[in-house]
Amino acid sequence: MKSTNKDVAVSSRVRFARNIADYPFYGKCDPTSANEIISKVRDALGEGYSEMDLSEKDELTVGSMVEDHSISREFANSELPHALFTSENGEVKIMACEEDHIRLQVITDGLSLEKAYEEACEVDDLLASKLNIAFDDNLGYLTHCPTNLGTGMRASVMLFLPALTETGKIRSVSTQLSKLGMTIRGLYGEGSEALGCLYQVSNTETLGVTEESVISNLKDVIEKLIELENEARKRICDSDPDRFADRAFRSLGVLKYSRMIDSSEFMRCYADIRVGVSLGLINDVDLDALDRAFIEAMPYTLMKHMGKKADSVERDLARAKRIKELI
Amino acid sequence: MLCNKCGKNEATHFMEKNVNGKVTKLALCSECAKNSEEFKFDPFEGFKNFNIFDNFFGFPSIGSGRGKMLETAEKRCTLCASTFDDIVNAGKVGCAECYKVFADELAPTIKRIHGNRRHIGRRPLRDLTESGEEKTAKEDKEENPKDRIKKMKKELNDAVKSENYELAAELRDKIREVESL
Ligand SMILES: [Zn+2]
Ligand SMILES: [Zn+2]
Repeated sequence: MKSTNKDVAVSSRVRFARNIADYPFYGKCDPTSANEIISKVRDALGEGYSEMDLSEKDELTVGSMVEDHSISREFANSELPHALFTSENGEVKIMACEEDHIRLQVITDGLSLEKAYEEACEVDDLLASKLNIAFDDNLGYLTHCPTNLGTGMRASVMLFLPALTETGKIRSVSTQLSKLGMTIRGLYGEGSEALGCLYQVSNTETLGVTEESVISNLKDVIEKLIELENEARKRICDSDPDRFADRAFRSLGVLKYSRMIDSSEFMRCYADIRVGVSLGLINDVDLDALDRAFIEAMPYTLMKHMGKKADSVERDLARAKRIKELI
Repeated sequence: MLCNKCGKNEATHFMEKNVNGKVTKLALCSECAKNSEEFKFDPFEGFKNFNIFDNFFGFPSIGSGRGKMLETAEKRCTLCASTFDDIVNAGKVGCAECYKVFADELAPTIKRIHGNRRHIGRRPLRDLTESGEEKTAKEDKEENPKDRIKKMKKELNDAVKSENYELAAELRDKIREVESL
């Protein structure tokens, strides 16, 4: 099997923004039109997709779906009728009545942008064969926000970059990426600390570029970043062999023996342990299980598991317990 | 926010005046903006349009003259009934048809975001043409950047309190963006 570099590249995502020409965009759209859009998307997709009416769902379910990236926060908060269509394997998701009428997204494991892109194109072609998709020869796909004009595509990869974070290299990476029509951002956190050492690299250009070139440039850059991260890890290991190991086992101890743990502490432990597993220092923790625990420990997903809303103290108790079950 | 001049209508036009380094900000309704003495000042010298939150659309009179603005204010999209003012205020386009109806008005904004470029990527497989029915427009509210930052900082605090660090990261980036304007 081809390596997807999961120890650095967590997941790949390709998203298309599409609109139906005959309906106003969100903000000018009324509930009747929104329902019509949803039923048009349903008919166009045909068999093989499960549908979820998000307007009907409880807060915990919707919140947990935002946390595992099944849906966008804008979609979760929409005041219009909105529905999610999911393919059988769960990789393809179509949000009907998001900011754009259609947000088609494919999330795949590891670094697999081409696979995600191909799957997205397949569904995009299916939709376009049945729907009057808003398109202009010069401007490309017409979108609610003009920043998405052209391809309407955002491709991104979630990266785990503990060593580049540690060495402070991440800042120079950021400057270089912006010159290449890409951007990097910390995915979690309130300040300059990227909690969990998780970053998202995505394209910024949509007009005057082809999807293929965006995907292949992004892939090249990600491969380069993976190389840099691995070099930085190696350098730290060589100069200070016990640093990562000490942190990894210390954090594992916290998860094993703590009775209460909050999100930010858990995310820091997660990063330490993930490095330890990637470097082969810890052998009895599975990377997928660890990544799953990362999502399961988030407040809404956790409360959904608890079956009720809970305050932060109750959550910290439940989190410590839940993590022990999963890792 | 109400208009600084008449104090009656909702302000839709925001400007910054710089006289020898002293900066004054002005928020006007479209009626007062049309009649304003300040607007006869060379827009490239003394005034700089300041962006309301992540609004990409500049004040429509800049570079196109006052006559153009008056004419634009009257025009409505045939599908969603948006005026160009509606689009400026929302920071988002009303519908696909708006891109045709307001092609000239939107051109500078699109150029600012994307440069002088044409689409060269994918196309929909089938190109149908149908016309839709007319829809009524809704009013959009204004907010000034300071209020917006304050609100977002509060949201950031709430997000951290509820352990929503992903939302926190988004808000952190938005605040930086607005602060850098
Ligand atoms: Zn006024
Ligand atoms: Zn319109």
